[in-house]
Amino acid sequence: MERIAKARQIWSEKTAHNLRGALMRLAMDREDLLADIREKATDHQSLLRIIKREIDEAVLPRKMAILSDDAIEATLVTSNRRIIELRTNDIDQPDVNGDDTEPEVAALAYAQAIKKIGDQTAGVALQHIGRASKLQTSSTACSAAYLSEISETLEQGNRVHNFFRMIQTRAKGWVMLLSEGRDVYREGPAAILVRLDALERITAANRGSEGPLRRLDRVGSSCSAFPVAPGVQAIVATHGKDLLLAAVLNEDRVAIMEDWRKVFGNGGQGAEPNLKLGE
Amino acid sequence: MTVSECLDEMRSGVAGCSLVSFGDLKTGMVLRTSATGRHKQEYLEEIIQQAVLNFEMSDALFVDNGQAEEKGHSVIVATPDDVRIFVRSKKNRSDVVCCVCDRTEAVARVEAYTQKVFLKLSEKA
Repeated sequence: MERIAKARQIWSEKTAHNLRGALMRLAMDREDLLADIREKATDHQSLLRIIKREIDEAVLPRKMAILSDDAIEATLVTSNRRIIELRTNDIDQPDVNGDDTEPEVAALAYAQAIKKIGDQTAGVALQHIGRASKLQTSSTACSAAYLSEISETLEQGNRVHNFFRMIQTRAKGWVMLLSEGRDVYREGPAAILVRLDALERITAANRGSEGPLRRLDRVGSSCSAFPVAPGVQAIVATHGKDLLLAAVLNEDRVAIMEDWRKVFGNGGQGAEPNLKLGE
Repeated sequence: MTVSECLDEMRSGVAGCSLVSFGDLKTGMVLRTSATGRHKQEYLEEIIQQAVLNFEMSDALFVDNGQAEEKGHSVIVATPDDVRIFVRSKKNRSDVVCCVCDRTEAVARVEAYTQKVFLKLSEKA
């Protein structure tokens, strides 16, 4: 009874809507279902919505094509409610379909490819090609929810940069690395920049190590505040491979951490569900 | 009052607090926990490892100008889902209290309650 009561508490309108949609599709005739899958996307957002729906409903391995009027724009493989592989005709698109690719890099590449196809090609649709075979568990597998989260960051511009703009006037010095370290911004007194450079080296070494935090570090964004001198705190904000290091006064740290939560927070949805056991 | 009871009191006394644990920064071990639900050991260890990592970075960079007593004793880590506040003992610098909350403002209350936990430990020692 207690479990049922708890289940009722977490029930939401969104869950009800998603379940209703899934049940309606389950009850559809084959032809209607194929027509529904072939729904044409008008822009990258509707293409993403269609792809997310198919990922979410695919348990067995499936291969699909993204079709425009005159070509196959991309093929994708889904399995176990995850996108396993995405191949496009775009020679500029990096190949991330390998086990040595980090999950967030793969998810970002998938999101960028979908955005590009949706923006550049009018009226694309998904079509099932058939079952996919010889699938191996891949570190690049990406859920619909994660794909959605990454796509959202593309919409919002760079979130680390947005956070930086919020705290810039309170920072006594900063080092910011964006676009996988290709863009570096730094400003402040030499004494502070020396400390922040040292912190950047330590942070890079920690990210490269295989510690117990490695898994958490890879999947999420975080922001730390810790003392580096009397009255001075270091702020370390990471999001994927973007990094912001700043020196701020002690009295500003709580407000700055709240600012970070305004940009990155999930609005108090609680801890990652798979990390928590039931009662 | 036992250490576990202190942790229970702290969790109920800090608004939005869902988990409090006491551990050792040197070994990275969680010794006592008080939580609203049950958590995997892996999750508890990840939280204390976050404390270890951040205090290590703080110690490696700290410039105290000879004022060792000024050294910092608390770290805040925000994630999209929660706020983790870590406070270590001034006397025994490997004793740490880890607290998972839903807001950053909890830091002052967490620091106040933590002193009570460390006082209890020093009485027992």
